[in-house]
Amino acid sequence: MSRPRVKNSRKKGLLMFCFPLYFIFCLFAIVWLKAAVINLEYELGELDRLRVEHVRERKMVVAQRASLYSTEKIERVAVDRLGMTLPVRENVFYVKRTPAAGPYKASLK
Amino acid sequence: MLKVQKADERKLWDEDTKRLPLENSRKRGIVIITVILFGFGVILFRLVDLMVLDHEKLSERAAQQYIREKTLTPQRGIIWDRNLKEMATNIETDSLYAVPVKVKNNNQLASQIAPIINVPSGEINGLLQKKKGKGFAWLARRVDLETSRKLEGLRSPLKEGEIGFVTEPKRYYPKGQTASHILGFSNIDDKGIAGIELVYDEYLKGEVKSVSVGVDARGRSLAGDIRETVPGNNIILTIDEGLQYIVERELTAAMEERKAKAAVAIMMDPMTGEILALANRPTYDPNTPAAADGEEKRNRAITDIYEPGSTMKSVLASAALEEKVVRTGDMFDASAGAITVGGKTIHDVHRHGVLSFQEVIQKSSNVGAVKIGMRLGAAKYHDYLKKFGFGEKTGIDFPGEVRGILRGVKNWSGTSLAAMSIGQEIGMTPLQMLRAYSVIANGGNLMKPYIVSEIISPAGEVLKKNAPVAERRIISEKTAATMRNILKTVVEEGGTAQRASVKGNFVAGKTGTAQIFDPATGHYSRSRFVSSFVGFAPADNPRIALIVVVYEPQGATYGGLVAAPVFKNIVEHAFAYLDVPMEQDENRIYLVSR
Repeated sequence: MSRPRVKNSRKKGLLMFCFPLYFIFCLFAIVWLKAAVINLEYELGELDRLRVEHVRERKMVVAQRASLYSTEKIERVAVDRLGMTLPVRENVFYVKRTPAAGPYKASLK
Repeated sequence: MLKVQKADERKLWDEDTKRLPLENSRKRGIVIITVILFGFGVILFRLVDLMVLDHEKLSERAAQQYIREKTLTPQRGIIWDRNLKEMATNIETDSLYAVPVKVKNNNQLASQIAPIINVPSGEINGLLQKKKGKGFAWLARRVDLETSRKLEGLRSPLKEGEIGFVTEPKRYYPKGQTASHILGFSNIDDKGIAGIELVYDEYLKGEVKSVSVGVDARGRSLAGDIRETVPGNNIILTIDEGLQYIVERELTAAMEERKAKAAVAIMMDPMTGEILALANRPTYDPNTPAAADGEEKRNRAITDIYEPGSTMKSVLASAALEEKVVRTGDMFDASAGAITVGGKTIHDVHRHGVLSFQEVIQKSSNVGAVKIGMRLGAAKYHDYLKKFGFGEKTGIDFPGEVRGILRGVKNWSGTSLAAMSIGQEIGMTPLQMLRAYSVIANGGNLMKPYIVSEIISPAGEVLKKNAPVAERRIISEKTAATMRNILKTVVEEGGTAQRASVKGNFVAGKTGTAQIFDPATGHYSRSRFVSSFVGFAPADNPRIALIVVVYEPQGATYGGLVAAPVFKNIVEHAFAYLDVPMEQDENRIYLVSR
């Protein structure tokens, strides 16, 4: 009769011993998860910072392109660096082409 | 017996020895559980204390430590020209701030930062002293990229948290000085101060947003915060950057050649009222508005009035023709070279003989104009001046427009009709005069000028669209056509503006040379003039109307010598740019495709 009693109390003791262990394990798991989330947030924060930097660079490039495309700068480069001249109106011809009637086909004839 | 007793004792002893460790472990178990429970009880109590009793106070403190309120500055809308070329855009810059409450050595910080941001060390020191105990003080706003990099390098040796950076959008005008008077500029807080930036500030500015940002103990941002702001709406202008550049280039050349005090040119589509270009000299760079003075920022095209002089004769002639008080074949005797009205004698620059109505305009005879004015009469002339839009704002979407000066007929003196017939005693802006000539160009309608074509939301939705508005018909098609023919002769041989003629296309226009009234002497100056030319081309099917006004040119002063060549240069280059073919060229070879 006394043997089962001993068994039960051993089980209880084991449980008593395991429960805190389990509890501590859970606590650590929660802390680890939280730390992992924070780590991910840092990573996302860093990626976000990079995104902001790239957006910033893009805006700079767009602004520089707009500046380079100004008529004034194009003219300056064309005239001063490439030696081009502004076209004289008399030398500009407007050729108006009326497409021939009928199907358009590639042919040597 | 003894054996049995011994055996019983042994049994009892055995049972005791078995029971004793069991009882001991139970006791130990109870102790451990009690300790654990006590521990948990303490933790539980602390949790209740933290989460329930002190919840409000502690959560507030936590929020202060781990959540920062950030005001996100939205970016202003983009301003494009009619071909969607960026005229005003945004770049992102760093602004430097200090946390005075955390700065331990003001002198050291000030001496490290001062040479980089080009501010005296003492000034920074003074600022830090003034804001001592406070959590925030701007040190430099919107520094350039190079300065930003230098400051970034400086940040590491400094103690964490003493200084920091905030990214702020900065307005950038990629075309520099081009169209500066149209665009205007915005201030450091992104508020429109002049030009389109001011008038359409409500549309251009975005929505300021305040967001909560999670930070760690070192102030590093954690992800999850919302960084998106609502940007402003975008604007499409009616101006053409290419034409604007041509106008500005020629105006600069004229200023240098004539050593003038100022110059204005406006180009408009006479059929629609769209402003294609508007330029003033002197000018400024909207990227650095603080470096410019008031004279450079002045938009004379709409804020300054001038007495137009002879360019007014076209308005008079149009009114006289419309009212049928003159016919094209009527002759006017200008042989005396002068005419006296109300005690005031008005002279012609050159003595003419008997002139036809057309020749009065072509040769710009003052005597002939006064005679036409007298036929029309003061009341009718005044009515037409009103109809042509003088003395009232044009309604252009621009800040600071003035009405000009047009006195009521009751306030006219005995000399007023004569004086106003030759463009004196009346004040107007160059834009008002250009609008009046556009009436002749487009067949008789007074168009409302405008400079903003569309306002578009960031999502691409059209919020506002300006369309051409014909305010009223002033003269008939026939009168307008007659006037166009007369104005063509001004640019031809015998006219006052031969230097405005454009090879290959007919030009219609009129010169003006007005003496500047000197309030000190009460007389018109003999040395200070306003030279102008206003016209349109091609004369029979106008693509552009253009006015050039040069204030106080040195040397030559006549509009035909000063302003007309500028008109010619602008129109020639503008036609090449716009691919307007030449209408007349005898030596031209035409390519024909078959």
